[in-house]
Amino acid sequence: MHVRRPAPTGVHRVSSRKPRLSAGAVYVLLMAVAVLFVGPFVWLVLAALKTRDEWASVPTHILPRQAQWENFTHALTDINFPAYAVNSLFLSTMYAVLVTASSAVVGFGFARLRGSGKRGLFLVLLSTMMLPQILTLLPTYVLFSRLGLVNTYWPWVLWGVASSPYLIFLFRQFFAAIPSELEDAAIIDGCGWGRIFVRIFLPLSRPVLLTSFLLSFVWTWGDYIAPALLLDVDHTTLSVAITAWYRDPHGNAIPTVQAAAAALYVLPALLIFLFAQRYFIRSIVSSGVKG
Amino acid sequence: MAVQTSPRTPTGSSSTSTASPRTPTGQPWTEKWGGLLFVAPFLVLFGFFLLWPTLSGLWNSFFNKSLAGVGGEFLGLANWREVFHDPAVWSSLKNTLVFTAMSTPPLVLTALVMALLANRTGVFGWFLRFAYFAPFVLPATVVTLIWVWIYQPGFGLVNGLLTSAGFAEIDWLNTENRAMLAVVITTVWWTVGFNFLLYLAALQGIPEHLYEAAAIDGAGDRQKLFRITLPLLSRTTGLIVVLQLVASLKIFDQIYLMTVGGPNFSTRPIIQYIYESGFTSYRIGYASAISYLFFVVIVIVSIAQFKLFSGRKEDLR
Repeated sequence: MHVRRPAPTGVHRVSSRKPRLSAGAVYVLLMAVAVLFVGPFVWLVLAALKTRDEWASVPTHILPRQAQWENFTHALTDINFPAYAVNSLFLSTMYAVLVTASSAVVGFGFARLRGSGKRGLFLVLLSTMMLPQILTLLPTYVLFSRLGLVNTYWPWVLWGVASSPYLIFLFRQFFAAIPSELEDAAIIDGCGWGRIFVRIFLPLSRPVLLTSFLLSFVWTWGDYIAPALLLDVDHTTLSVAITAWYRDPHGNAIPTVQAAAAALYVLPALLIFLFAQRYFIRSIVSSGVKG
Repeated sequence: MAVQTSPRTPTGSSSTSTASPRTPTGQPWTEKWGGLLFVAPFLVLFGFFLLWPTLSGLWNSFFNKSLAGVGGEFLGLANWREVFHDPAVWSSLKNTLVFTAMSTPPLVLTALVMALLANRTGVFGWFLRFAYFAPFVLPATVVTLIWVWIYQPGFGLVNGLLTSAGFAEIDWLNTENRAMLAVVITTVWWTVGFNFLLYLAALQGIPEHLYEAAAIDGAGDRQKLFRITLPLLSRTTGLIVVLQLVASLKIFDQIYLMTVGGPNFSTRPIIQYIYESGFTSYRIGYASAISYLFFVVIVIVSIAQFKLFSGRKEDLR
């Protein structure tokens, strides 16, 4: 499959012998894929607008006969939704800011500074990326409970300050590709590494900073295990609240209200990306990152 | 990734040079310890959240340690011997590797093809990027909530479409040989957008003049694709494959939330078995031993990976 590129003006376009996809066909294909990607979201929203009987009807009931907006009212009022949303927002923002700052600094250290053992440390860093979070979770929990930090937000502060191997890797790759002439001049002028980092590297790295913030925000916003383990009913986040607590008097989950809550829960993350993405991609390109 | 020499060269820095504080001894201090200072956050992470848990895990693997902390008699290599003779270890390890083999190629190739097609689609570009990437920002809990409903026998979307088209219904998540496929499809939907975006950014960074020069030389679309685009994407591809392999080997959340490893343990990944040994059977020592075996597997896979890509340019100095 080929991408049709606009022929440069004045240059005769030499067509290859193989049949090419026309622009129209490419559009149709892309839109079909887009429908496949959006479909499950639509299915969620439709579930949120159905009655419980419609939700479970056989054969499959695709459209609700009448939109059940009160599912959303129930989602917001059956549990203290706004309070959990504030908890989620606070934790995610705080962690994202801290971890982006610390990972940028560490990524810079690995990309630019000389020091004995740096290579070894970087390999250790890469291997820690391979360690699944779930394996270190229990010892970490024991650690936090000994420090008396269970049921506080301090673990997220510590996690943020400690940086993330994944984001360090991202920053390191980006910084390593910046030509060294830039800082050579600054070094000759007597600039310290701290100033070089702030004045030269940070302004160039807006797209990576944004990517890092977005990713870490979304991780924390969606994380289930850490808040489930570390926070009690009053301090916990939306992810924990919406999965377990919409029940009818018989103790059964109410799927339609759950769907409404889930839709409300994912909305902020989607909106952030919707607003950030144009700036995001444009800034990656305009800052001159190449393949 | 390479960066164009930016016009924003720090010409202004010379004026401030006299004011900049230099250590009396000059460069050596920063040369030697400045780097360490920058890497300090990582060292905190490493010590607190990785070194300690990892070492305590290794220590525990020689003990009959339970979750409650009671017991803890020394077992020597008994846990380790058990790991090698436990069929559940090997079958769950196999499931993890099968998932990785099934999910990595579509996650890389689909992302590449989607990026090649979506690059330069003017007006709808933002919509396509949004549609493809949007699932990635969803948490695992919501992704699985949606997809369990989609795969549901009876009133699920997929089976609704199948039966209305005259096909037999499939109980996706409860049929061996189907459940893993269902999880892979969900995973591709959920995470391919990230790889897509990395490819898209790389594609948009390829300078137009290369294609113009190629067109003047009479190159067709096919030649441009294979001689310019794909070679220039090779670094990005290397990065994406590494990240994807690591992510796929860590499979746990989706499977646990969708099939709980079933039916008949046919989708249970190794991490779930570790989790069950530790949290359900309360055998922390045994769980630690399996973790170490798994870690060795991951290291082997990544060494193979580095060997494969170190043949190309400088990838990781």
